[in-house]
Amino acid sequence: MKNLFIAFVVFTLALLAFSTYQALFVAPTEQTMGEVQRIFYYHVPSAWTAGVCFFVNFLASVAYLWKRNLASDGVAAASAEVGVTFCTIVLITGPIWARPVWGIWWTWDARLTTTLVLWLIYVSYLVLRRFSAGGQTQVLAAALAIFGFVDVPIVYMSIRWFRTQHPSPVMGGGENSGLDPAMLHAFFWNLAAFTCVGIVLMVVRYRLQMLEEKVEATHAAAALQGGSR
Amino acid sequence: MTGPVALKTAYIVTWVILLGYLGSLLRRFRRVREEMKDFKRGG
Amino acid sequence: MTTIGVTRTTLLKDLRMEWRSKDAINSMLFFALLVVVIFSFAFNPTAEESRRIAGGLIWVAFLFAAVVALNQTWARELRNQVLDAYRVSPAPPNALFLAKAIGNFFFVVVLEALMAPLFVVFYDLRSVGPVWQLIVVALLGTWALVVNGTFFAALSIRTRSREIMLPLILFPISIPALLAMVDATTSILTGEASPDFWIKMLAVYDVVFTAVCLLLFESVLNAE
Repeated sequence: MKNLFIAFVVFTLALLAFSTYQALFVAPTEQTMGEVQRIFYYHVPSAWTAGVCFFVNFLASVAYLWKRNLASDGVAAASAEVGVTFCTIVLITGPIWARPVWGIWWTWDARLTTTLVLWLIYVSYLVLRRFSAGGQTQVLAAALAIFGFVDVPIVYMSIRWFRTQHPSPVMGGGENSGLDPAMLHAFFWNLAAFTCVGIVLMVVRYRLQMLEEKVEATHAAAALQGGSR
Repeated sequence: MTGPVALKTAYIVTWVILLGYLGSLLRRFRRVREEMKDFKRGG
Repeated sequence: MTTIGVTRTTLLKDLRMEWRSKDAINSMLFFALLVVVIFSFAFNPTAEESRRIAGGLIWVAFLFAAVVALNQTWARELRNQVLDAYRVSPAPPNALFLAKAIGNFFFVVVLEALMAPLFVVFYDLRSVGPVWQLIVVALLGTWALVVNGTFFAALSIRTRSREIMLPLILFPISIPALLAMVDATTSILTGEASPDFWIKMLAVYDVVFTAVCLLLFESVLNAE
């Protein structure tokens, strides 16, 4: 199992190197935006990975409330933290792209604001996990995770009504959407690479969570036996 | 900020965040392992 | 005992206690008053401007004031081990939740009714749109804040640093509701746009989150 994981890490690193090479040197330069458009190859896959993480977090939270097993809670904790990490990347690379292209760092548009609110919700989830005590953490966190996930479409709808400026999705959008095949090629390599990075980080974080649970359980057992330390 | 500079910054920032997060995970791992070891020795 | 019976008993008990002490309503009132005064220093608006920013001011003031009361929701029950007693009793958990949420709703609505004249006086507000719509927005919006607030107060009471935890988890989730309330209020006050979309959105928000709260409250009450 451990060898398999190490092999997967090596595979992920190779994939990431290859996809970065594709994004920086192979994909054609975009005509109107120029070089800066290449941020897209990191920005969108990060957003995708963050989305997947938050979805996994929702599923794991529901599973925890149903089955009450520590493994589900471990997956929930891991996916929320990795999701926030990727969401942070999205929120930082976005403005770096926007400044040369739009001339402003930030605008309160539907997609940007939704991403920011998403980030806030899952940061509050992590804060709740950190500040709640002992055996209650899992249930409280799972409840908040479900609230957060239910909130996302409502946030998106409301802010979409409020204002919109973000470029419409280039994939599967209207008639004029769609990328040059060479760009699409680089994009999919990066999508695969970032998903794998997300999986690696989630596995590491999950193992850490399980180890922490074990230490805590050992402490509790020792305390029950009359504090042998 | 011009295009190429922005491009480099964005890629570097992505790497720094990912490596930083991985580093923090490994640090937490080491701490938990040490705690486990202390516990076994002490208990 | 039925759900309605337990709800009514708990609600009447809370209302009676509040009537005797007036702790929650007094602290909320004073807090909201402070916010109103501080905002007027910060923005110093004319009548025309104040109509545009009043929606934001009013709801931010009520949101902060509501948190003061919401934080107190479960404190008394926790102190006297009422929650433990409730857990072992056969009474339905959702009845307790509904009683608390309705109680808080009542307190915040009273606060709003008392504060509304003050806003009119201090900010020289005159609504261009129909006033009855403001009441609909206020009722729907208050329930949106209070139903989640009561639930999250039950979460935050079990954490370290309880008082600070509630706004930290309540505000992010409440952003769409707050946006709807502020925008609906502004469009009614200025009479420039129709608040219909926002009123519908608030109604959807209320229904969805009331359902989620009722679905999850039992797990949270029984969390060890």
